[in-house]
Amino acid sequence: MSSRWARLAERRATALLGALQTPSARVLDALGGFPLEAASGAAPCDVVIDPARPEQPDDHGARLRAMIADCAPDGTLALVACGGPAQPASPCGPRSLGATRAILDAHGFTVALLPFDVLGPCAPLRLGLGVRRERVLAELDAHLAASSVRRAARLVEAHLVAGLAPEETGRVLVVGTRGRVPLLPVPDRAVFAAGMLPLLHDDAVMRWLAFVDTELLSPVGAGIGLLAAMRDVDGTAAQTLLQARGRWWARDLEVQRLVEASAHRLACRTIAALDDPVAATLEYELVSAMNALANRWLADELPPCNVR
Amino acid sequence: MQRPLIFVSCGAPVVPLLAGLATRYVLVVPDGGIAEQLRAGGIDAVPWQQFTDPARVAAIRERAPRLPDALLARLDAADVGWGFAGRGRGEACRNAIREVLERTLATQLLVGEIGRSLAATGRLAAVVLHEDVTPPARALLAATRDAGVPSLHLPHGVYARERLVGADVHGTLHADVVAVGGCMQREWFLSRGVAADRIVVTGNPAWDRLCMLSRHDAPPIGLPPGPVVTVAASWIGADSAHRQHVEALHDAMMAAALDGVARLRATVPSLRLVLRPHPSAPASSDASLMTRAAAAGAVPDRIERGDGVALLARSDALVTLPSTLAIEAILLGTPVVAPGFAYDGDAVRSADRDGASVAAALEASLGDVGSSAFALRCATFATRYNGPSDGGAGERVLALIDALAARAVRPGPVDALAPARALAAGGHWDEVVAALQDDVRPDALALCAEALARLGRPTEAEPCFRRAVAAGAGAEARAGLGLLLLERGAHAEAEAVLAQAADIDPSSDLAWCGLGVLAALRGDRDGAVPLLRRALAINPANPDARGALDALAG
Repeated sequence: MSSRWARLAERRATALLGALQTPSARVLDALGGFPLEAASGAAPCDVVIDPARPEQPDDHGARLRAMIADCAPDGTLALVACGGPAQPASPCGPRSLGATRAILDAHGFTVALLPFDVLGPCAPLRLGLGVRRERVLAELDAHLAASSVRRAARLVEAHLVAGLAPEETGRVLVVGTRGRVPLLPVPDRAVFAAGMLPLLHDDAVMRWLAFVDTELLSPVGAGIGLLAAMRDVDGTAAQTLLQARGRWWARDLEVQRLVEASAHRLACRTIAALDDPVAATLEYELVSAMNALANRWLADELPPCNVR
Repeated sequence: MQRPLIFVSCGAPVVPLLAGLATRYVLVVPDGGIAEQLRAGGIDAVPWQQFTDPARVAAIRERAPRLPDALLARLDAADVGWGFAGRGRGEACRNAIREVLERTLATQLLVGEIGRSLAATGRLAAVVLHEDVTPPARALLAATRDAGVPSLHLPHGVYARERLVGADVHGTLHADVVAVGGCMQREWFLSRGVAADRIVVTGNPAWDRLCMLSRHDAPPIGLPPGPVVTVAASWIGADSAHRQHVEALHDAMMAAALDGVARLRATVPSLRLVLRPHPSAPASSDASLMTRAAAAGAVPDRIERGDGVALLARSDALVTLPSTLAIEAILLGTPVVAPGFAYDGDAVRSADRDGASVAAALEASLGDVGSSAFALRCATFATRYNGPSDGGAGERVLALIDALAARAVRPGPVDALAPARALAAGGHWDEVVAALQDDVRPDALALCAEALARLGRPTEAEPCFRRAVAAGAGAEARAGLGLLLLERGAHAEAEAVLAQAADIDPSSDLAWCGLGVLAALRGDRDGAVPLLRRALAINPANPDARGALDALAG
């Protein structure tokens, strides 16, 4: 049974590849690959898709050359390569982005990339977890049990991760063509903001964001300021949204919620790490201490905010 | 049969229960001063540390300072990712955690020991708390739960839906059962995963008095004629999450409230304004509150920290931020305006955070007083926030406590000796006798006999000492018996018993002292002095040995 994150990434890969499929496309057989039904379009094909998983060792060079051979002169190839740090090419290993690009370049293909799966097996964020990996990924899975969190994660993947460099993510959709470059989904900050706004007022999502900030991004100094990003919400839309729920909105409300969730999370992690029955009674004090620290950091690092 | 004990914290919802509880239980309270006050008022109460063993307390005090380092070493070895807002924060977090551990661990250990000692008496029937999340409350609950003592949480406050589920310290129920005010609190706990069978709607005992009070019965507050608007200020703890935001928000709400009053005064010049500071705010902040109101064009008629019930009942409207004051006011039939906050139902008028909205809401509220439609809205609100609101919450909670106490796990034969020794160390000789009256173990008989002797009851003490000796008690019982015999003139038997005590335990200062006094009484000064000096060498604080030596020297 794969993890929820893996299933999320798999659906994304399948959707990205599937979106390029045409009725006459050829979809290669790939044992254990992304679940795209094989299709044997007659060569030369306008679209050739390889649903093989890039981490699965194979002679990916040979697979790619076979795809090129089946591809019409103005056709399109689509496959998924590993993201993350550059890997040396090997005759039977994972599919590296570098080696894939080299082959496509050599055959005159123009290449378009769409990074995704920021926590995939090759992703620096995942690799950077070190000894924390197992616990953190288990907790990520628990957060993803909430449908609202899965929705938020899909938005993050579609509109934030897609804008990252391939080496910052776990996988990359690679589309090569010698004809017209197909349109790939474009990250859109406005769509992201509009989609995220109601989710920022979902408590499960806020706890997940606190997890992402305190456990994934900040310990490695990722420099991605989730807190600062919370200030970008559309106040009018937020006001309308909350008033429909009988609540009031104020500038920085989302920042406040994230601080509250983060401080609580840090306190609970402390208690778990101390693993002591007496320390377990200190939640209140530890939350207060973390709030006080967070307040100091906010004062030092975020400009003041007018709540009106 | 001794009455069972019940631990009670003395917060607002618990205080009205104390007299009722005291008819069935001996109250255990977390402070000697409170116990004294209660006893002065005729309520049987003891401080919670009364049953602790001083030796164990001393051991905790000795051990506690070493614990933070040990725990921090564990923390350093753990896989915690300390980060916040895009940066690693390991050192700052570690320092803050160290500070918390150094400041709190000794107290937590001590409270845990207090809880265990209370439970070990076998008499602790229940723990009743108005707050079950603070560290001492958590330590007490952990210690007593282990011994099968049931617990009840009586919350006080507005449990706002705005709080984050799963990231709020109040979101977990640490007591066994919570007695909630109304269905709003019930839903709040349910939404945080507390099982329905642990939540009982009773109403809040702190509000029973308000439910039975007519606005017209409240004492006058001595203001000139005119509608009275009370504006209640809030108070924000230094460690609130994103305090800067919360403070700015509260400032904006307060500004809107004061501006609203100023605007309404333009059309209702006789409007009286009373400012109500938050009880936790220092009195020194009152002046700045007054200045702030005046600067907003709402010169207050008074600032009032006194009887809040009279003030609310005599007000024609209350403007408040999220606060229990809003519920109290509605229970009294006083209209409430809440800028930037929505209560459930339509009894409280919400207003935007601007003066014009507050003024409009206030104007409408002043027309509410006495109307049947408003009374109906208040009744619905009261039910949501305070259950039946019939003044019977206290009785319902008392019945709940009795039911909980009845299901307490009663330990088997209880070892009463350790708590009795603690009582003896504190000089509570009556309670030592009470605790050990049915205990026939040699050490228990010896301690009981000593207590009887200290209470000036030698005719009961002597047979008790003899039973202790017969049952196999050691030197202490013999020394005690010997001294009693000495006091009543049975010198020969006293000498024999004291000699036995000194043989069994050569470090018994009581035995050597008794033998020295006997020698002195016989006129054997040369024999008495070394015996008394030996007693003093063992225990320099032995007053009898010192007195006898002084007498011989004189």
